[in-house]
Amino acid sequence: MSYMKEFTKGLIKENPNLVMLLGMCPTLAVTTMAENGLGMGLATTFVLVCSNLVISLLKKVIPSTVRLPCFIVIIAGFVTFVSLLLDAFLPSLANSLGVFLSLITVNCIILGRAEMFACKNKVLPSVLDGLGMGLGFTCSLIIVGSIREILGTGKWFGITILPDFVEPMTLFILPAGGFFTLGCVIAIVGKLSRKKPKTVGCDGCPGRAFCKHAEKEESENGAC
Amino acid sequence: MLKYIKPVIVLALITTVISTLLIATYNLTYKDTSGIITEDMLVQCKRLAGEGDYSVVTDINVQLPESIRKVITNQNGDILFEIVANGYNKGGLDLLIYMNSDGSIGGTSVISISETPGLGTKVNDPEFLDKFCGISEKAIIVKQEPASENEVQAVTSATYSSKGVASAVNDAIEAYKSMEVSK
Amino acid sequence: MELAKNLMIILITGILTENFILCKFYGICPFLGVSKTFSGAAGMGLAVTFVMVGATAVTYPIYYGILVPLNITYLNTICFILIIASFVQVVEMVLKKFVPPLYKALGVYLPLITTNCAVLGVTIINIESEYSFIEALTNAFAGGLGFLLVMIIFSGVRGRIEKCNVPAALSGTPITLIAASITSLSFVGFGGIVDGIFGG
Repeated sequence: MSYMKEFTKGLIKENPNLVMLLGMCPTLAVTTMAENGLGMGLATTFVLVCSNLVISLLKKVIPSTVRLPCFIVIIAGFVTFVSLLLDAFLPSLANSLGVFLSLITVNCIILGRAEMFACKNKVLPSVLDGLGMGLGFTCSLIIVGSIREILGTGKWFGITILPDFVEPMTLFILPAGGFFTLGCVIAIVGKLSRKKPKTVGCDGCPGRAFCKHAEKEESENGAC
Repeated sequence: MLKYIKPVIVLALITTVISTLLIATYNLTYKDTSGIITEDMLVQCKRLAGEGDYSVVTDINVQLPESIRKVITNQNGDILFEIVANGYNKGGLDLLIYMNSDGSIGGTSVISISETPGLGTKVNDPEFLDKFCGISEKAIIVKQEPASENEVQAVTSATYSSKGVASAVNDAIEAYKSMEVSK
Repeated sequence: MELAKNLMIILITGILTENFILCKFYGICPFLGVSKTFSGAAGMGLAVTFVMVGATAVTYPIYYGILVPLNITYLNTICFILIIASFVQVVEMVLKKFVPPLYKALGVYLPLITTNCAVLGVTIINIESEYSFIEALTNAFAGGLGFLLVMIIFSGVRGRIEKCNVPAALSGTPITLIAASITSLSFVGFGGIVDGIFGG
């Protein structure tokens, strides 16, 4: 029962992207087409689940002083693994994702979940947590990607949707459109859940452990 | 002392295990396509130059432009070039260009493209690529209506990628000339 | 002369036309998080620039000196991120011991930079674009300067936004993102500079 909660919290209430405001870089960069958003989301989910699994298994073995470098190496290992697989079996997706495939390594979501959850919990909850967060991330990528692709090119997943007489606005494919779409989506999600959108705060930040700023400014609700 | 050594050892151990697994994965999944014609490429060749037996030409004794990856020929002696050109991204355009026997471009096809999705990738459009057919001298990309045979209008918001295709076309023309001269 | 021209092109491209935050989307998390005050923005920007140049200086020789000869170039992600993490750690220790005032100003941001996409991103881009060592360093420096520039601009923008009447749903991150989109559009205007000055 509580396992279901671990899984669903990542989907809506604590959606890593739209609520906790982590992992913004890939959200803006790969969402020019919904298909790329889906691919990136699934790749990140895979890395997230695997790294949560391994870190949870090894939590008693890893000494606390080298905690972060070990997490980083494990995550980087899985990212390289996914990258090799994509190069071999789905090279077109690997080409579209470009350098952001390797940048999954420094995606705040993965390191944040490892630091906050996986190293303190058993294996099954960690895996479910990773799965939930990853799928929540994938959903938000698909949503932002779809909006940008439909408004920007009139296509969705490559299929032309908008009728011929509606001229697509190329602006949405440009970086500016990415910022704009994401801002609006976060605002809508915040409004729907009737919560004030968080400023990027200390909660999900992987540097929190050694950040003196966090202790000092926690009361001011400022950023790290 | 042990207090300091143990974390470093654990880190080194984890790194070594992961690296070993990755090296194994790499060797299992790596496909070396440098000397062969892949399935996709074969389909493109047949689309541009018709059915036939295609093979890579290996005995080329003339200096070809750097961007030429492979020279492919078939039983009729048709020549196709696989060219990797820089568009917006370095090496973002992997093209197959078919040459007519008079040294002009017979057809252009995209093997793979890693340009900006939605913008640069718009050059992967038969309407644009066909504009290069028949060009036998240096192709130039222009922003307005083309004024001469060799001018091609760029795809909107894909100028760098269009210029990349043009540079590939020019390399193909130059390579064909060098090969003809050396015969 | 050719080298100087290339370096100038890389500098201008990195700072303006392909700005690391507004066009390439690296470093968004600190951009949204730390750009509220001028001192925070400047501090983070300078620290990031320093780490980017330093990381490039270390990862470049290791890539071409060790990974390429051994044919294990795909291990570059692991290798680079370990190098970056260690570099940041070392810099923090050195600053703490030898330059305490600088450590007080910048040290808080240093651990955060390990997970900054910009640092890992620039080291990978330098390899992919096949730059020489000098070009790679210039690229990292340009990226860092561009990052610093946008952070400072944004600390001003956010200061002004706060004095305005923003609808409740949009306040905080959404309005910052929308402001970023407009700034990003204005940077598109720099698109013709490189071709214009250097004749493409």
